[in-house]
Amino acid sequence: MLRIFSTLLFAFGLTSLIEASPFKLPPHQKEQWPNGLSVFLMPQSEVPLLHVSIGLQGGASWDENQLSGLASYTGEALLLGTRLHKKADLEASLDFRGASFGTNARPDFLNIDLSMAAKDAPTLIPLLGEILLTPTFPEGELIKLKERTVSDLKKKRESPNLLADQFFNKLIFGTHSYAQATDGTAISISRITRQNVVAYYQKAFQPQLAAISVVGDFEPEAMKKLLQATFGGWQKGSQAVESVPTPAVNAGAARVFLVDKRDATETTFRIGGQGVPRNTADWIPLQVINTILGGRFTSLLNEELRVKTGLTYGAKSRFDPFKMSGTFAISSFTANDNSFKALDLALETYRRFLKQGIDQSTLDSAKAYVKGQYPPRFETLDSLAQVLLDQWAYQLPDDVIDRFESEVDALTQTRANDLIRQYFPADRLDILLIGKAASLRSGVQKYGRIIQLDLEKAEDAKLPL
Amino acid sequence: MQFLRGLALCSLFASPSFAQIKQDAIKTWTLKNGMKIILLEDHSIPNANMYTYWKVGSRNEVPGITGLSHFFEHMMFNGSKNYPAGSFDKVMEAAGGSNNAFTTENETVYTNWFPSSSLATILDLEADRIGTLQFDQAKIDSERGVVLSERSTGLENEPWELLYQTLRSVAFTAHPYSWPVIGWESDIKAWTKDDLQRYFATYYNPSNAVMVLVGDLSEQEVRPLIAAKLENIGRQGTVPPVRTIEPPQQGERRVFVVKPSSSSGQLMVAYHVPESKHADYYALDLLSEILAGGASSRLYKSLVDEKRLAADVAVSFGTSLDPDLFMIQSTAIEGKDVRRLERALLDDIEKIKNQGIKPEELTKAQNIKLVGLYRQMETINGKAGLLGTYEVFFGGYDQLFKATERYKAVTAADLSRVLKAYFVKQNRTVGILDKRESSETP
Repeated sequence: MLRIFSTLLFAFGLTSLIEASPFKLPPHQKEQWPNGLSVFLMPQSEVPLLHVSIGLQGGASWDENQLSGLASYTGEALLLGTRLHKKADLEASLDFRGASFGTNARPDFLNIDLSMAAKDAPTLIPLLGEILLTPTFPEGELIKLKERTVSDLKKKRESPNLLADQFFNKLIFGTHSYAQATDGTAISISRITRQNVVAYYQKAFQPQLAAISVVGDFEPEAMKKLLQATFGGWQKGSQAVESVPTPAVNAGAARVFLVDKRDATETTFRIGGQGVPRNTADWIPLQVINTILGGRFTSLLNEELRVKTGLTYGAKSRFDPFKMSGTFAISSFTANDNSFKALDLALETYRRFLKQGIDQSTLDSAKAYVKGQYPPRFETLDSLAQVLLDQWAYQLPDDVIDRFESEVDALTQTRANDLIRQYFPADRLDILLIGKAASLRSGVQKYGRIIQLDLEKAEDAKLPL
Repeated sequence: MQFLRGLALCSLFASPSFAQIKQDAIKTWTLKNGMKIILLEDHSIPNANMYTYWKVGSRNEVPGITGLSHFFEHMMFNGSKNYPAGSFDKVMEAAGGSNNAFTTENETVYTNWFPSSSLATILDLEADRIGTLQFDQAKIDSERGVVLSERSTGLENEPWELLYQTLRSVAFTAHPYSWPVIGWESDIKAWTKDDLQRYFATYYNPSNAVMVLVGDLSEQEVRPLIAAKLENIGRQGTVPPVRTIEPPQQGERRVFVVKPSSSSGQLMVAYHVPESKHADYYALDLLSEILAGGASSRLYKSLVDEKRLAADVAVSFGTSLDPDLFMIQSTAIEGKDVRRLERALLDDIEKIKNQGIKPEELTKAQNIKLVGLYRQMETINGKAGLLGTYEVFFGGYDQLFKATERYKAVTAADLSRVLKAYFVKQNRTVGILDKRESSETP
């Protein structure tokens, strides 16, 4: 039993690297090869481990209509077999060395990660190349993967906290590709054929769309040679980086997406609207401000909903950034009987924050907090590898990490209150509720136009703005 | 490419200690009041942490106050003499620090993370609540709501929680591992201020605690600060031992949980096994990898990949002060009968018992454990967690430096012996959660 959800402590997503008066990103090299592949190397020798992160442009935003989860499923399918090896051989080779391989479809790109003992690089980096460049997607294994994935996605319906962000995105982004579930749904995954997988693979797995980030215990020249031998022959393709269009904003009335879970004992909710893209110039100040609203234990929201009233185990807020947009959401949950009390209190607290802004001493505390909590976020090899990939994926400036502390220091109270007015949604707040609709429906009418669906139908529904 | 051949246990295992934690870089001392301090200087980042392990958990409770250890953990943040309710977190966060805490069956751990320059403030906060915790009735009542919400959100969102709680209540008939760490709902609603005060006086005796500090600190600065703030906190009496010993199980136990909205059946099979200090710990820990660590593991290959009965399979085997459970859990693929999954899993266990473990399976499990240890050592938090865990559960933090040797010393014969000793029908409890109970009997 934890005192607080650990996510609350690290609620502010994807920012970047280390400090030490002030924190600087450790030395690293960035290259782009003739085939278009971006290569980042950062030697770090504290532990005899190595982490490789690969990013591929597109991600879930390239999933075709009706086929949400295609990028995710294609990523999972890489390990089903290569020209040289069967699935069981690949798995045995990775497991035997204690290595860990994983793929993750994010809204704008697909991540592939491999963590290993550094001494295994000469074996496992070529194997990673084989998995990436010569997957065979055997039909029989694809069917088995589909069976497992669909079963997992149905089980996920028993966990509202795993679905809430996905449903909130659906509400905020309407028919835009950002509204789709990045992992897919039971229905969309059932529809995916081998042809779809091959087509996605051929479109997205091209070196000019890819970056590889290697962090860990290695000697740079030897690592370059190994990478060159593995990925140097990857043929450049013709697919351009297609950015998705900027999503439209809800210009109509506020909406309440009421997802009916008949056996719910609590109501899970999100309140908010569109946020900001990851490369927003004001990203760092926004993290400081959000820390005050809902990004730490003594935040305004947690103070009201948990500390003072005991309505919930936790309340927070966050900006979730994508490449072309993002969401802003207040999130919490509470027992069925407390639903309206908690919702009203969350809204009242947020409106007070918008109206009154923040005072100097709270701002000072938040600045000390984010600076104090910054360095430990970049202790692991995978977090460093991810920072380099994020810089590439979201086109962030090279010094985005190094200037964290000075940007935090430069934030004044006046500027902070200006940013609140500029970025935090105020006029129409969309609300997602997962709970017992029968007891919620009449009470939530005051928040906006109700769109009610059963949980199973909600997954695949489109909610045009 | 050659797979699995010619790979001995690699040079990593050859080193007697880890480069990341040098045994002689660790300083330990015991305060006059009995609290033990473990300090590891690590200047990789300008930060530090402080993990205080109290040797009290739900195993120290009795019916009527189940969950009190965990509730107490919450109350440790709700006001002491010099830091009234609400100020602990405010002062810590303004100093750049953050915190959390967790309670298990065996221990309650308070974790602070902070820039090393804030050490004095963090120690002051920690010492004040250890020395002078206050219990305000209104705070007790509102925190009760928080814990009820924590309990219900676990049951609402975590498909294993209810089956896990129910299975443990059946596998243990006498020992306090029988009830959930968070406590039964009726107890959460009923405990009193007196219960909390008694708990504080009994278990929050500094001699019942170990404080681990790791990070950008020096012994020179830490020692006098700790002496000034913590050394004079005294408390009377000794901590009462847990008396109850779970009697040996005399036959298979079965439990069923009905959940109409469940999309597919869930299976849990649990065997009684010894506590962490027991010599068989390392063999059992390796066995958990051999059975369910990764897609090449025995049970995953059989149940998920070949027979296509399960969507996943995992082993839960942690650290404990008293004999606990080795649990195998598996989710049936939607539409597949969870009872068929049970039969297949039990058949696999029998097969492994009869055929034994292959040398490469043992080596694989040893490699997984070693790389896992290194992953934990990437961070100062991982290091603090390892030192604290070995101190509390394995008889001393220095046992950490023997861990790789102990994993390495396990033989296939040890695994066979352990399998035959513990993985028997009489010693197991089987739990199933499904939409409805079997219709075979009325």
